[in-house]
Amino acid sequence: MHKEGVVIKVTDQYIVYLCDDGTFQNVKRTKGQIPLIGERNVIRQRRNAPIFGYLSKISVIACVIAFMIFSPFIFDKTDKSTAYVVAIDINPSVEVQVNKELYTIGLTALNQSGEKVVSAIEYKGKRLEETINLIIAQSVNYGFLNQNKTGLITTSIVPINVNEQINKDKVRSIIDEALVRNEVHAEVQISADGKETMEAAHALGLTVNKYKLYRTLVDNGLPISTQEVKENSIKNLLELINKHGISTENTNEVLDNLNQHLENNDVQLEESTHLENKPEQSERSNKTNNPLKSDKNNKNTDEKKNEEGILKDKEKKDEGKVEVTDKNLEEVSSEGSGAVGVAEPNLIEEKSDGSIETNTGTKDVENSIQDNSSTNSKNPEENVTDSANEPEKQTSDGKRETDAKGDKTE
Amino acid sequence: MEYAQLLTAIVSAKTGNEIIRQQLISSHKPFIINAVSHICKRYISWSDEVASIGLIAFNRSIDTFEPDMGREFLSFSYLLIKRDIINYFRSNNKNIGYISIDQVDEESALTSFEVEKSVQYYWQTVYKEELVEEILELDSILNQYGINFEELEEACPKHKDTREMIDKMVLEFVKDEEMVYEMTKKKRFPTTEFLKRSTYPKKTVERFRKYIMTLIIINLHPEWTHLSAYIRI
Repeated sequence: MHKEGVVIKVTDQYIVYLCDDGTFQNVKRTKGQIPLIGERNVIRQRRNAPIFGYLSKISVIACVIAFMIFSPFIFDKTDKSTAYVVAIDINPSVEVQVNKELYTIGLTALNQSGEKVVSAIEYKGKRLEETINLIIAQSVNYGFLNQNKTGLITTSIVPINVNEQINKDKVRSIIDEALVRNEVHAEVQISADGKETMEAAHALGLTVNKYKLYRTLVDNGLPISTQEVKENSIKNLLELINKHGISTENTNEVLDNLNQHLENNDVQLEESTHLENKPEQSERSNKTNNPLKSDKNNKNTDEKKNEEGILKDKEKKDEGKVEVTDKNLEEVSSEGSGAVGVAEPNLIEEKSDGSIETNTGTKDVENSIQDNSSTNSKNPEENVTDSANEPEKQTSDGKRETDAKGDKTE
Repeated sequence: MEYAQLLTAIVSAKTGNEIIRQQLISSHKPFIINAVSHICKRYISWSDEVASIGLIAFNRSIDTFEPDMGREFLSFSYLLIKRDIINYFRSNNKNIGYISIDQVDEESALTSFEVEKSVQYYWQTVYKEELVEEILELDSILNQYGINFEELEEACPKHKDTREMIDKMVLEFVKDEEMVYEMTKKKRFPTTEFLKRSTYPKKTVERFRKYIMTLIIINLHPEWTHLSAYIRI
C-alpha cells in the first residue's frame, strides 16, 4: 500500500510521517537516510514491523513450498481414517487399526490381558509390522506365549471403507517374522472378514475370531454364553468344538470361513499342516467320527475334485473298460500310480468275475496309501490325497477307496 | 507562528532581545538537528559535536538574515548550517568529499534552471518553509503535553470508521470552550469530564487519546494552513 506523507520528525530509528489521510506513521529509517523535515515522500513500508511487510510474502511462499515438500509425509502418517482392522487373538485379544499405508492409528484391547499388552505399547506412527512385533513381544513378556509350547495366533483382517484386502501372505510373513524374532512358536491362522462380521462381533463384545467360533458353537445348538466365549481362549474353544464332536459340516463352516479367501490350496495346506499332523495318525488308526477340522475342510475341496474326477472317468469309460480287461489288477494296484482302469466302480460291478480281484487289489492300494501318508505326512500335497481319502474310508468300502485313489491319480 | 511574526521575532532578536532569540532557537531545535543530520547523512543527536556547530550556525543566521535578500529564513539558515559543517569537516580533515559534490548539485539546481522552473521551485520552497515552521511549532506544543511524534503512530486509528468518529469527537471538543480551557491549562486531556458530556466509548477515547489531543491542537491553530490540510476535519 502506497501512501504519501510529509516528514515531520526524524529519530534515531524512525522517520515519522504525517500521511495525507491524517494518520501518523513511523517508518524504519535505513542507514544514511536523513530526509529533511517537511519533505514529501511516498511511504512504501506499511507499519514499522517488517514481518508484516514484504517479508510476509516471502514467508508465505516459503510456507507453501515447505508444505508441498512435507505434505506427503505429514499426510501419510496422519491419515486418520481406518482402512483395515487387524484383529489378533493370542490370548490377549487386540485390534490394530491401520490406515491405507499400514500405519498404525489405533490399538484396542478386547480383554484384560489385551489391555496389559496395549498399555505397554507405544504404537503411534508405527507401521503394522512394528506394532505386531511389539504385540508379540509383549505377549511373550507377559507369558501368553512361551518357548515351551506352541501358541495359536488367530488373525482376522477386516477392510473398512476400502475394497482391496491386505495381502494375507504379507501379514503372515509379518507375524512369522515377529515370532522368529521373539523366539517363540505359534500356529498362525489368518482370515479375511467383512465389516459386518466385525460389527456383529463388537455388538456381542467379542473379538472377530472368537465370534466366528461362537457362531459355530451356537449354530450347533451348544449352550454357550458370550461370557464363556469371552473367558475362554481360542485354543480352548477349538478344543471344545472338537470335544463335542460337532459334525464335520459345521466345523467346516468355520474353517471355510477361515480359508475361503485363500487363493490356492497350497497356502491353505501350509497353514493347517501343524494342526493336521498329530490327529491325522490317530484318526486313521481308529477311524472314528472325530475327524479334524482341517481334514474335513480338505475333504470338502477334495470331494469336489473327486466329482470332477468321476466325470472325467465317465468320459474315459471306454478306455477304462479296455484297461480293466487287459491289465492285471494286482499289478496296477502295486504300481499305485497306474491305477487308471480300476477307478470306475461301475465297471468293476459290471464285471462280476473281476470283482474279487478288485477287492484284493484295493487292500494293497490302501496299504500303499497309508505308507505314503506316514512317510510324506509333512508334504502338503500328500496330505491332500490322504485327507481326501480319509472320509471315503469311513463312508464306503474298499472299492470306493480304490476308486478315490484311482480318480486322484487319473 | 506566521511568517510575518517570525520576521518580527528575528528582527527583535537581532536588535538584542535575548528572550526572543532563545525562543527562536529552542523552537527551531528540531529543524536544526534534522538539518545537521541531513547534511552529515547520518543520525545526529544533541550530544554530537556537529549539533552544536549547527546550533551556532543557526544563531548566526538570525544575526545575518536579511528579509530583503529574497530568501526564506529557514533555507537561509540551512545554507549557513551546511557551510559551517563543511568547514568544520574540512578543518578536521574528515572525509566530506561527497558533501561538496552534493552542494554543487544543489547550488546549480537553484540557479541554472528556467524561469518557470525556478518560480515553481520558489513556491515549493515557500510552501515547505511554512510547513516546516508549522511542524516545528506543533512539535513544541506537543512537547508541553508530553507527546512525541513517534508515539502517534500507535495512537492512530487504523480503521476509517474509527477515524471518522474521532473527527466528530474532536469537532465536538473544540466547540466546548470549557473543555478546551481545561486542556490547555492543565496540559492534559480531560477524559472523565469529556466522557460525562458525551456518549463516546471510554475505551476509544483512552486508546487514541494522544492522537485526539494532536488533532485538537491542530484544530485550535487555524493559522497552520498547510498542516490542517493534512488533517482535513
